[in-house]
Amino acid sequence: MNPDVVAAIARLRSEHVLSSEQAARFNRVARRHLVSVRVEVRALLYVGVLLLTSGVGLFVVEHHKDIGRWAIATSLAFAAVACLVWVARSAPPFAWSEVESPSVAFDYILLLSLLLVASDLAYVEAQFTVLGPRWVHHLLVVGIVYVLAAYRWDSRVVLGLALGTLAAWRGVSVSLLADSLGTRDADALRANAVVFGVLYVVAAFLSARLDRKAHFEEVFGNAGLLLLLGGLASGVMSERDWELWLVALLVVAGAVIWISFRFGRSMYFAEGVLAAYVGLVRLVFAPFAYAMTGTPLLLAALLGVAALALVFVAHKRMSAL
Amino acid sequence: MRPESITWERAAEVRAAADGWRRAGAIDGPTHDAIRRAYPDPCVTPSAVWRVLTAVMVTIVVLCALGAVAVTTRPREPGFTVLLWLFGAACVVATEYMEASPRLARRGVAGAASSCGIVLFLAGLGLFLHVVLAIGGDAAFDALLLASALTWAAGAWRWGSPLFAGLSAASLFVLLARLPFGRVVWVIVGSALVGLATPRLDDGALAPSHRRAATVVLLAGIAAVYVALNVYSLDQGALESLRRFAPQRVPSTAAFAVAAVATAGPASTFMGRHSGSSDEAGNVGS
Repeated sequence: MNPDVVAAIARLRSEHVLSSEQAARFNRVARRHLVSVRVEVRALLYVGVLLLTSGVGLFVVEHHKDIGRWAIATSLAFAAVACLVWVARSAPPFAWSEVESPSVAFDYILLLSLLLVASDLAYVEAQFTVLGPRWVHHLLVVGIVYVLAAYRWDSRVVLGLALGTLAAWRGVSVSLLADSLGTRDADALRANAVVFGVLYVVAAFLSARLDRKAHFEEVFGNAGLLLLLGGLASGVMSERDWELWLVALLVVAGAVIWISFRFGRSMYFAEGVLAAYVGLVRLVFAPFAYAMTGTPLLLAALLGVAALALVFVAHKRMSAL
Repeated sequence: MRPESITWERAAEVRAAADGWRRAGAIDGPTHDAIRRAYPDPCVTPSAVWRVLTAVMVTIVVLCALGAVAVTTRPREPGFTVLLWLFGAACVVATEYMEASPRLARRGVAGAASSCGIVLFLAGLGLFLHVVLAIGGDAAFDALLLASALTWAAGAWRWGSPLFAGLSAASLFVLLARLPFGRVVWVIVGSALVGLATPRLDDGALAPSHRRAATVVLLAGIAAVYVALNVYSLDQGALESLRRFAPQRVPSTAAFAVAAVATAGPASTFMGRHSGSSDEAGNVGS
């Protein structure tokens, strides 16, 4: 029971702010006679999908010799297809606008089916060596399948998974190539992060601008900014040409702060502020690289105070918009 | 908690419920406005993103300032202990000031400052026990856990933070796991906490955040009983792995006494300033 709300309902009823029907209905909720378990059901479904996919993986590892490669690959494919068929049959028609899920389980069965598809592909590659040294392209295939599924069945969770998988495809590719050449090519990895970040940010912009799955904008935008700002910040932290990276980071972070301020996007604003702070702290510490002094730390604290002031002012202005 | 903070919290509860009714279409705009007028809440309450960003920046500012002073003065261990306590005290004083201000109370600044205050106090205490008093590792760790349980509990009571209540319960259970028959103690204390917390969940005399803290304690008690009786935990000896590493060389009573005295000071200050959440009980409805 929420005693404060129960007391308030009684007062609002006596002052005729609420009708007796409204008061009775709200009282049931405030006294927990009527309880929503939607969040709990969703959490259980999510945990269930994770446990199921993890359990399948462990089972396959332990018993794949007893069961046989073909049987496992076929079973995984069958399970994935069965889930996908259920999803396809119960899904509403495609639309460019946001589509309501037909049931609370829909998103999670979709997630399960796509994770099983990825597991099956990985198993097939591990056992039958289809692509051999180019196995990384499986990530590209999985990423594309995820993107298509996210758009067809309007799932932000799957889109997030897709963007992560596509970024991993380039990241793993670059790392493998660098390793095979006997070098650690951090620059190439960073460039990939920046390029993918820009692509995702452009996708976010186009989603909103063209009103094509406009609600995907946040997923694209946050993934893109994390990659873009993260890539630039990693350049700032490197030893070589960090000044150029710093200029790029400050310009991009400034643009992000300004645009997010104009459009009232608090998450983008936070990412921009943190990225700019990291860049400025690097600048503050640079002249004191080999000196045992508290000056850079003091400056970093003062920068933090300035960032706090910016946050307060921005929140006030954005709330007033 | 301050009486005015409790009043603001109660109003915020009603306004949040009214927002939910409005979103569900159960009330119209004028009714929603009337409810908001009847329950004014002067506090500025930004969204979670703003609060987390603010808390992160406050934590960075505190740690950088502490680092700057420490690097500049380069104190030895006793001096660094004093420095940690000074910064911790400053954070607590700042929290008290901000909790009284509707503009700052719910922005994440006060929460971050109070967390920093307690963490710095505990870090100073750990350094004091282990390095300055040269108390053995196990005894110092036990004393630190006791101080942690008490300090987080005092913080939860004073500032109404459910997170602090959870940290207090976690510290308590780690401490109990180190006792002989720790598993049995977990079952007993876990059950006792469930018994103590359950009636508090619906207690209108408590502030809303204290009720939420009671929920966290209840969950901690249930989790402790479950872990203590879980077959996997029994097989793996999960709780037994938390026991002391070596036989004690220094009587732990001394360490416990230091921890208790060090914690009792700030705690009694908080409790003394507590001016009765029950006074405010039902004020919202009156």
